[in-house]
Amino acid sequence: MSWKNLVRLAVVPVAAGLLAMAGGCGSGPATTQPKVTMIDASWAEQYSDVGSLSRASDVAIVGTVTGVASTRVAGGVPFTDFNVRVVRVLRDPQGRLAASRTILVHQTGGPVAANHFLEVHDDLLFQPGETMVLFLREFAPGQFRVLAGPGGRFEVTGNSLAPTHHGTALPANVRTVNDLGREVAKA
Amino acid sequence: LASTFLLWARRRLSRSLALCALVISAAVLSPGTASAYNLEGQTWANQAGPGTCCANIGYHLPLIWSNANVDENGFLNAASAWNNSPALIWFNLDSSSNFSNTMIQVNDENDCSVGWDGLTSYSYDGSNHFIAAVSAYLNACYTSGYAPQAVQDVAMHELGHAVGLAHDSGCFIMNPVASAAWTSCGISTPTQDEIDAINALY
Repeated sequence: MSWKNLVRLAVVPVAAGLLAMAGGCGSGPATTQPKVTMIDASWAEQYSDVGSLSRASDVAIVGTVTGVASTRVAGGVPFTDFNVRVVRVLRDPQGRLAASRTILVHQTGGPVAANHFLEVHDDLLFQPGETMVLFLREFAPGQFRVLAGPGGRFEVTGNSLAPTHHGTALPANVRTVNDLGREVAKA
Repeated sequence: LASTFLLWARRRLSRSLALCALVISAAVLSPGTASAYNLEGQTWANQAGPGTCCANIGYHLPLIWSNANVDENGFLNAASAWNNSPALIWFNLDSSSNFSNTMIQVNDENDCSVGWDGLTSYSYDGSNHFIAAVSAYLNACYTSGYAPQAVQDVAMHELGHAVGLAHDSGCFIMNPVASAAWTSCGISTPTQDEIDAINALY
């Protein structure tokens, strides 16, 4: 099975979860599989190492996605704002996270019709309950986007870390959130 | 005579092994020799077959741009770069009265709440084998600060997606960070790898 098909299989439950959350109800199991169409992005930023990624970010956090705050479509492109609960602050030199422990993180992708989602190939939509290390840029007060798309996002399982596909490479000595926290503190 | 033959055969074998090792090393180490392109999996239907000139892809420019001077020129230059390459594809600006030849709608946004400088969105036919329509965008939030060659690279990248090419790490137009093809690699035309990809599809 190709990587692309694996990604699509992984995406369907995400989309179904999003649909349920956007609908705001849990009245029973979904009867129709959501249609997910991939879109492709060229990223404006790339960072060769965690140090440069960290220095370019406004904040870096360990965060858990708690739900969908809103979705919209502009110019045919869908966008989703996720509520992310800050579990741990790795970097916040200007105290941007002092006001709230829940922030909005903006992603490209989301629903374009009742049962149809668009999702960026390298930067799949967050899943509710997912915990990640995120290097973020604040583009409006309290609203953030991930720096460098997949490059500013690391999956967290327990205390272990993994870069996303086409993500920023982690040094060999960075295997856990604590390791990454030390690298961020050094940057 | 037998020992001379054995000595000759041994030397011949050593040379062959050395040559073989050299060829394998060159194939592994040289970035330009191996076929590295990736494909999305879908193509435009009813085009000239692989090896036959040329796929004919119509695109349409909008009347209103966020930054026409940069992004409109970026797409026009990108189409020219593809058209002037050996790739068996031709991007035609659709000037028909009802835009009936438009397959790719290009446009731009000015959105600093996202991290992309280019985006391509597709729809497919019912079988999911063929591309039915494409919208390709540049993001003036970023492209307005780019060198013209970098804007051209991002637009070429999106046109590449629009005809079935997928991302490719390295010094390629289809690098996930397309502007780096210019800023890091000095590339502003399709690479041989991307030409090979197009010529495998169309």
